Amino acid sequence: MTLAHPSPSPAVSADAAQPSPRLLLVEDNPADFRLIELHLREHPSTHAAELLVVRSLAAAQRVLASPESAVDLVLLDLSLPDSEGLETLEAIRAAGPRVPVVVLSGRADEGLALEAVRRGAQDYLVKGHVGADSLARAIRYAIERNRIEVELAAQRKTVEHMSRLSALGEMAATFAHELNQPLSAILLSAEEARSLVDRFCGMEAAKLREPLAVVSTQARRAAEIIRRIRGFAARSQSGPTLIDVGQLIQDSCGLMQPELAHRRVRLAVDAPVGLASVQGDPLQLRQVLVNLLMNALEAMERTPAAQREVAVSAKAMPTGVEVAVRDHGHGVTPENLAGMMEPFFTTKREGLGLGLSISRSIIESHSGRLSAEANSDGVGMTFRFVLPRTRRGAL
Amino acid sequence: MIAQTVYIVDDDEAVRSSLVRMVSAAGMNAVAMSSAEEFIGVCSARPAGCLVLDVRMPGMSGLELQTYLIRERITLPVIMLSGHADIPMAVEATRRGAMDFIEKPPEPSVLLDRIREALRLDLERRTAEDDREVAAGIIATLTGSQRVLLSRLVRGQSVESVARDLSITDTQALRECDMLTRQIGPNGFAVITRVLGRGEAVGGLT
Repeated sequence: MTLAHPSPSPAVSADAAQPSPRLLLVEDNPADFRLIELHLREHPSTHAAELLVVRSLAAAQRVLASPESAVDLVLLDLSLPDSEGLETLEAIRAAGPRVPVVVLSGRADEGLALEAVRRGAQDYLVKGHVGADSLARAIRYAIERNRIEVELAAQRKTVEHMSRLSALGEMAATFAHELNQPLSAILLSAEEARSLVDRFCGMEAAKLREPLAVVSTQARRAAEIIRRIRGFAARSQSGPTLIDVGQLIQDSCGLMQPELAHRRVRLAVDAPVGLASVQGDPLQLRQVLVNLLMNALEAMERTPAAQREVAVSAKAMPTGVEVAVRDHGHGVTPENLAGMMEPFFTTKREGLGLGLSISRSIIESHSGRLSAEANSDGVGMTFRFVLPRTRRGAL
Repeated sequence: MIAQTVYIVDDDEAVRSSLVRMVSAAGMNAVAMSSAEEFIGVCSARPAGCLVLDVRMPGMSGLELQTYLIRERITLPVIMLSGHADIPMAVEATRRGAMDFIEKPPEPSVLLDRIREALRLDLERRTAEDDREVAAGIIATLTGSQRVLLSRLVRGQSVESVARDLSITDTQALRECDMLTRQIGPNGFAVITRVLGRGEAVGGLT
């Protein structure tokens, strides 16, 4: 799983090849920070570390708040001109919740040390009892431990989020039938009323046509929203089967024909039947393709009609089959590219923001990967996923 | 010809009545029922028309009603309506011969098209069944040699070639043909030819 890491530098790992960490030393005593600097330069794993020194809590907070600072670790003296004791630690944790903190204290106080760790410090070192080796080790372990903690927390959050969403989906499935009943009656009756107006009524009554058309359209829209939410609960209801990827693409494109015609979008399909088979849930995979196609169409709303084209292709790879959906739409900004697959992310007026996150988790549950990139010619985007080829005898 | 009826079975009153109005407005005969059980109660052995059936209902479900119809050999075309995009259920229903599986809310024009299609299918099926019955009834009244003669004639063999094959004179063959024609009538010939033309066997003839 890819996670947003606070620093743009590669994640630090415990092995010897790790890049030099960027350290923020918060220390008001010049003698102490000279000593720390000496220790750092002495040890091979920290001698190239980039060291930022500030003398007050306020200055440290400013550094942590700035997105360019990209601090890997804070070395923190608890006694500063503008703050004292554990409050200093808490203020630093609040300013940079994802940055590990190692406390440097003048007091060999076990109770204080324990309390500091309890409040989120990775380690507690006593000045005068710290050598180059122990400092380097403490820094390395703190960074690594913190990285794992941040990752786990993010994973947990995603899991929680997903289960909330699937609860929502199940609820929607439960109510879908109930809601679709009144929607059926509304849609059928509105259409009936429209044809009655056409048949029996004069000029004045013709004014009814427009509001009745709105009733029909909005009933269809409500049904579409239910369908989207329900996509969640529909998952994993059917078992895995052997799927011909070419056929799957043809079927999914077939579903989109009315929408393509309506939006006057050309569709180019390069996915021969028989190219490759994968094992999976056809319903789920079709949902992914439909989502991607729908996104492509919606991204091209402002594209001139002559350039409205979606290309869907399947390519056999040594390990699997790669499916690509390429549009000529407005694309996304780099900031949105990062977050676009997260649940409830949307740039559409009517979107739930679930399409891509559902698609991603479906592809991941098929041991594949969904990725997105801007087209190299600068117009539109391409979504790609690779599904591993079925092993012989897998079914 | 018996008039065809569109049977609508849905437990939701509002849906039911709007379906009835839509079907009636399109010039078809509609009858509505609120449950599968109610439908079974009024359904004759050979209903004419089609069935628009809600999948999920209290009591007997749409799928269960479909199973019942199959068991009773009632070949009424079935259009399933479902409030759920329930693909496995749709696959199951279609495998058992449902003509269509339409998600709710149905697009009115699409549903009407499918209903018309179902009525066409029903008419075809029942015409074929009627033909088969009529043909079997006629053939049952014929003697063995008349059946042999008939099977050759419907295959388009000439009277002369039939006479040669059966080692009788042309005059005898003509007389036999004449008698056969009088006995079964021109309409009987047409029906039997239609049935055999569909590749079906009837009354020992193929």
